[in-house]
Amino acid sequence: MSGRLHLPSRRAFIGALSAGFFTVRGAFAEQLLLPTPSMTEGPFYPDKLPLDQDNDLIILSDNITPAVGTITHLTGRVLTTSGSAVKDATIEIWQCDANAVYLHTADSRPKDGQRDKNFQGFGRFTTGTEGEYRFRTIKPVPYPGRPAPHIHVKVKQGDRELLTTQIFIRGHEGNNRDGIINSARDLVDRELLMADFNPIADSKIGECSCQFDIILGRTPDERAFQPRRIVR
Amino acid sequence: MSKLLCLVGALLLVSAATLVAQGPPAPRGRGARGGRDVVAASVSRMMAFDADQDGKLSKSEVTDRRLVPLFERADADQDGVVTEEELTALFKQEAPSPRAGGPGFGPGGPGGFGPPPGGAPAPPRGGPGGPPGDDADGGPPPEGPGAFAPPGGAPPRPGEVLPGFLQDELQLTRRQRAQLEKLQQDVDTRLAKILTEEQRERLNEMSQRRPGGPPPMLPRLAPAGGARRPPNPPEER
Repeated sequence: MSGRLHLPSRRAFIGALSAGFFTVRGAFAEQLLLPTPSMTEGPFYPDKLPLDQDNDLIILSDNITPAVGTITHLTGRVLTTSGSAVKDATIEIWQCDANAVYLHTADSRPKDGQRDKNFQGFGRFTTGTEGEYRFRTIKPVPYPGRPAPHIHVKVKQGDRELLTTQIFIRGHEGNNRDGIINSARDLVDRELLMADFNPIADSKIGECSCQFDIILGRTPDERAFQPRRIVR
Repeated sequence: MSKLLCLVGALLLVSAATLVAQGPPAPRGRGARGGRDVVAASVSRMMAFDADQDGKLSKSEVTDRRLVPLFERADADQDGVVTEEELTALFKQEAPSPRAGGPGFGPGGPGGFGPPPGGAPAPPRGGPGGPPGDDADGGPPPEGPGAFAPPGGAPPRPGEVLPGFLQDELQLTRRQRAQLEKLQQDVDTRLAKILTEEQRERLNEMSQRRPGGPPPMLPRLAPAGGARRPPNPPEER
C-alpha cells in the first residue's frame, strides 16, 4: 500500500483534529453551566470521622439536644456542565460549630470547653437519580483567621475525589477580607461559590434555606491536581 | 515511513499548540488582586454566554442561573441587558483591593517561604489587622502557602523541616522534637549529598542575601543550573 493513497484521509484526520482543538473556544459560546471552582480543603477535614455521619448535623444519633446555631436546610443538585444529573456522588460537608470549633482533634482538643458537643460537624449524603442532595446543618459562622463564614464541601464518586470546595454566604461583610476568597483567581469563580441563606418565612425557630448546585467540570480526580512531585 | 513520522510530528505540534493556546494557568493564589487582567478575564468569561454574539448579554443568555445575581448587579441601568462596559465596571468595583485579605492562601498558590512576587506590599500574614492566615485556624499547617512564614520571626532556613515557631505552635512533645531533630539531621546530610559544592555555597549566599526581609524562595532541591532563577516562588504544583 502506498502512503499516497492514504494521504487525503490523513490530512482530513489531522484537519479534523486541529479543527477540534481550535474550535474549543467557540464551544464555550454554548456553555450552559460553569464548573464549580475548587477551593482549599483547609486543615480541618475531620481526622476522626464521627460515628454519626448522616446528613442531619443538628442532631447527634440518640441525642435530643440540637446543635446551637441557625438551622439551615442546605440543598442542591450535582450536575455536569451540560446540566445532566450526577447520581451516586457522595457529598461530604464539614464546618465549625456555632462557637467556631471544628470537629478535628487539632481544633477541638485545645478548645474543648468552647465546643458545641451537640453539633455533628461533618455529614455525608449520596445523590439519587436527579443528582439531588440535602443536609440539615447550621448557618456557618466566621472562624478566627477566616472572616468569611463557609461550609467545606467534598464530592466523591467511588474512591475518586471529584471536587473540594467551600460555600460562602453571599453579601457577608467578612467575604472581602477573607484571604481564601481573595485568592480566587477569577471574579466569576468567586460568584459561583456564593449562596443565599434565606430565612424560611413560616419557620418559628428562624430556620434558613440555602440552595447550592455543584457543577462538576471535567476533572477526573482532584488529587491528580495535587503537587506533581507526589504523582508517581 | 517518513510520512508516518510527519503525521506523528504534526499531531505533537497540534497538541503542543493547544497547550500553548490555553496558555499558562492564571497566576494562582494572588490572581485576583485587583489587576486589570483579572477583570478582563472575568468579563470574557461572562461574555462567553453571549449566544447570539451581539456583544451584550440578556438575562436569558445567562444559562447558568447562579450568575443571575451577578448579572443583576452588573445591570446598572436596569435595562435587562448587560454590556461589556457594565461588567467591567462591576468587576473593577468588586475586585479585591491589593490590601484585602492575605494573598496566596489558595490551593497551589505561591509556595513556601518566598516573599510575594514583585515585592507586593502585603505580607503573607499578619497584615494590617490581618488574621493569622488561612484556614490557618491554628491547627496543623494549612497546605496553603504562606503557612510557613513565621509570624514576624526569623525566616526558616532552607531545608528546615519544621521551624521552631511551628514546633511550638504544634506543641510537639519532647519525643517528637527528638525525632524531628533526627529527621532534620538526615535531611541536612542528604541534601548536602545531592547538591554540588557550588550549589551549597549558592544556597547559603541566597539565604543570607536579604538579612532584613524574608529570604528569597529557595528552590527545594532545585536542579543545578538555576543560576538566574528569580527569587519568586515557582509554581508549586
